Amino acid sequence: MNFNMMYKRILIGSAVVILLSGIWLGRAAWASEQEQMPEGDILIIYNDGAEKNTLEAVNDMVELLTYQGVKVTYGPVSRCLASMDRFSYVICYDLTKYPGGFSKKLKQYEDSIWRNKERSHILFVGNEYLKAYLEDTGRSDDYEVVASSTGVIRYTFDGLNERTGMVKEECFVFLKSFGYQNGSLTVNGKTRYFCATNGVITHIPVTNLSDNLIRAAFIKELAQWKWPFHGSPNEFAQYIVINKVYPYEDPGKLLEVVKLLAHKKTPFVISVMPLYVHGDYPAMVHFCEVLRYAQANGGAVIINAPINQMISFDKDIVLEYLQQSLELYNKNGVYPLALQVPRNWMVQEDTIEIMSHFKTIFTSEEEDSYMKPSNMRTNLVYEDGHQWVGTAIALDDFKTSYLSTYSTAVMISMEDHIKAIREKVEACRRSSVSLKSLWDMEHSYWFEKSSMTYKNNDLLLNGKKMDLTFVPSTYNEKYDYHRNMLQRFSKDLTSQNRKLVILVGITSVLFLIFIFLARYNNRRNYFFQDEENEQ
Amino acid sequence: MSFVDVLALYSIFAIWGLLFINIVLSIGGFIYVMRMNRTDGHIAISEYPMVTVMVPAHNESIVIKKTMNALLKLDYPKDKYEIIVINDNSTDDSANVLKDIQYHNPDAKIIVINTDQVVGGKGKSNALNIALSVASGTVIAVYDADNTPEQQALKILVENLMSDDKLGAVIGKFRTRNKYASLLTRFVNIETLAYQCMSQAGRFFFFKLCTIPGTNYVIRRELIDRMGGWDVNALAEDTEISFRLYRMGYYIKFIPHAVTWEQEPQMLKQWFKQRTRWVKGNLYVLKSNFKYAFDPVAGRMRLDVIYYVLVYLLMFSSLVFSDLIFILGVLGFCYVTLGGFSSLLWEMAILLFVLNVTITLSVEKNEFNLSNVVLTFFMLFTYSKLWVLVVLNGIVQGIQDFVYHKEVIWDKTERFEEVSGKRGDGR
Repeated sequence: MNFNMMYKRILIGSAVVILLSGIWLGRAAWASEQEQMPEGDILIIYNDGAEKNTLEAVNDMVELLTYQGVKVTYGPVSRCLASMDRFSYVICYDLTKYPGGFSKKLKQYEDSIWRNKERSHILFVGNEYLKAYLEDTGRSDDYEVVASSTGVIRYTFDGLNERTGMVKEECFVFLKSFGYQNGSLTVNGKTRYFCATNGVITHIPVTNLSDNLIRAAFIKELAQWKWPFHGSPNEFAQYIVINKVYPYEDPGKLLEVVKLLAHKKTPFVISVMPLYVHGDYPAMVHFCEVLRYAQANGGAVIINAPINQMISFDKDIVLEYLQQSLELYNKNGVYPLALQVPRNWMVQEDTIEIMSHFKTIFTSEEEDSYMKPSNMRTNLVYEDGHQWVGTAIALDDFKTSYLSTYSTAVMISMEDHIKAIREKVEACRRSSVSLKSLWDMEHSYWFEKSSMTYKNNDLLLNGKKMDLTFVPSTYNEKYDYHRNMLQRFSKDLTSQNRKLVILVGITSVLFLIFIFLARYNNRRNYFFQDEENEQ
Repeated sequence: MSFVDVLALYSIFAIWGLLFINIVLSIGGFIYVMRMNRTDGHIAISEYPMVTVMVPAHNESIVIKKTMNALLKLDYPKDKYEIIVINDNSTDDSANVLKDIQYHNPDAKIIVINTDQVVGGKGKSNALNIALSVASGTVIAVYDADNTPEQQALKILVENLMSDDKLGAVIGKFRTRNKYASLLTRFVNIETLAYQCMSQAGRFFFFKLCTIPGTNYVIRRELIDRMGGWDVNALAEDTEISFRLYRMGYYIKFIPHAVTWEQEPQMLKQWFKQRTRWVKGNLYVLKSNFKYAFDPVAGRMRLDVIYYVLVYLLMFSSLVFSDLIFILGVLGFCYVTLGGFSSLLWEMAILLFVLNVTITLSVEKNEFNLSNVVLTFFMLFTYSKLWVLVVLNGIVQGIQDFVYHKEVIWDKTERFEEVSGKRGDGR
């Protein structure tokens, strides 16, 4: 064997090894991707390399579906390709970038549904891919394109009041024939559906879920789409929540709001902020007295999650603080039934673990800014079987709920004027979505050293039944705050600030008088004197 | 309450406490100055005493001619005052300049003492002591070599001194001659008016307390003799001698009509050196006299000792803490959780500071204008911050001097040739 021959063999051998390694690694990566798609009821497929808007819309869908008790899996189309068969429902959200064989795979999925004679299972959200899919599967006559980028949506939630709004898409595609339709889109003078079903295909042309009307209509249609039976899906109630009440806020105003609600036996919820120390301070005693009054008059109390300021989140610390705060409220005869959390706590493993200690979870519109973006592929929190109450989607000035597809909370802020609060409560009472009391449901939470269960109108704290009848507080008029010298100074600083402003104001005026006086004297001494000299 | 809260609370109370003191002093000073402005500062006396005007000078050839011209034009009986210039170990042509002045003013009594490095070169106190040994006056007047006193200055000072036996010394006002030379001299001008003149006036109004500023003052010769001359170890010989006068039972009067114009450092380096010397000198005086703060026999002098303690301990530390809290807060390393702790507190303090200084400007001729008010505002965030560095440097150098037993050196302020044009004194 000469040198050239040996050189060629080494070269060919190396190329083969590299090629085989590449194939093996590629398959391993593909297999790994496939393995990462967890099972669920609904699979949401979106673009490969999706942008922020798409991911936010998908997260929105996942959140709303979680409230409806559905297990959701979601991912880019390349990852979902081989997993579709394992899901009962598939949503193709605004697809524009997808691999070549995707339409074929989806058609196989569609056919399998036909064969099994199941109800509609594929939801197309958006326009471009529906058109491409129908063309790829030889159904070019089944759709029409309306070439306009804007349209008007009309939708009714209670069968009475129609709500309208603008919609915007690159172009609109509509199914020509359908068995079910709801709502309407008027594009270029033509009125078509908001949502329609033809066979196993359901289509919603609009994709912008950041618009409240579209979001609300979308989730209503989604509930209907995944409802496996004839008729309408289950209906859920709404809850009036006096949101984020701090112990140092005006207890008089809180009592006024409580009485306003209790007067007509309107059920309501007070979401209190956690407090960890000074539970015996007169302000806290007074605050808890109002809360006890509320508890005895149709109001339930829930506790807000501690405000997170940890760059590196420590769930044990948060749990410890929560337990501490609950104990402090319990000592004052207040029994929070549920936990309220920022909405992005639903997609973080640590916060999901914290939430797992509570049966009932309220979510707020706020997001915990210290949480990193989630890379989950499923709504893991579903597995804990919570009772969910999400924030109502605001469609009018009162921000009351129009949706009964999941439990919703209508938030009342203590910062609002009492007149505005009264109007909002009246709007809730008039709403087609029924109001419900938290006392009509079962609740529980547990910690290492304590637990609470509420069942059959009995509230058991650490196994001991608690009395929920209202007992007024007794106050110590000469309460000793045990303040040290520095704390007294600090308190004085707060109380003296107003006096200081007044003193500074007086001093400033005095100084200004001095300045004018000095200027007058100077003019008299120098200016007028000079004039006299000149004369 | 965290450690940062404690520091913040301390800073708030210290800064507001000192601000309150300054406001009270400004009110007193304003009333005193306005009252004095109704007079011309003169008090009729039967006979003018013999006065020795001492001018310590070390390498002052740039400015000494102007100073001598002003001293020779003083409106004081010519046979009743002599000028002693202590040309203290100068290496420039001060001796020739002074000789020339003597030659052209044969009628004036000018004594020039040229010292070498064996006798002289040991600082201002030493130079003054040398001049004292040949002085014939019963009243001693001291002017720095960069001063140009107004014509009536000496007469007003002497008349006031002689009109009250309990007065040990009388001091006048000094103004910035080169205030338009640089931004720094404009800041110095405002500082001089607010914290040298108005503060002195306020202290005199309420407590009959003043600190001799080192120039433009007269003092009884017999008192200097009783003291044994100036303390050669003191860098701030003026403050030191003031404290000794208090202890002897005399008081010092401030007369705003007796004005001298002096050249202030135009460059930051020279300013920093000069102020460090002042800080070291004042800390030396404070160290020597701190024991009197609790001595009832010391009388009103205790107030001055306490005032110095407040400035150099309370104000310095509170400014350091508040600046540190601000910087660390901006960087996100710490935050204050005090109830009632708000930016409003600082904003009000800034407002009072600006108004307080503006009062001083308003009583002066040609000083009350928008640019000076704006400068006062910026001064708080620039020039005033330098004071913290000066004190820090002074403390460090003081400790080094103590540890290494360094000899006290008079670090002379460098002089500048003044260009003709817009003059600070408006003359």
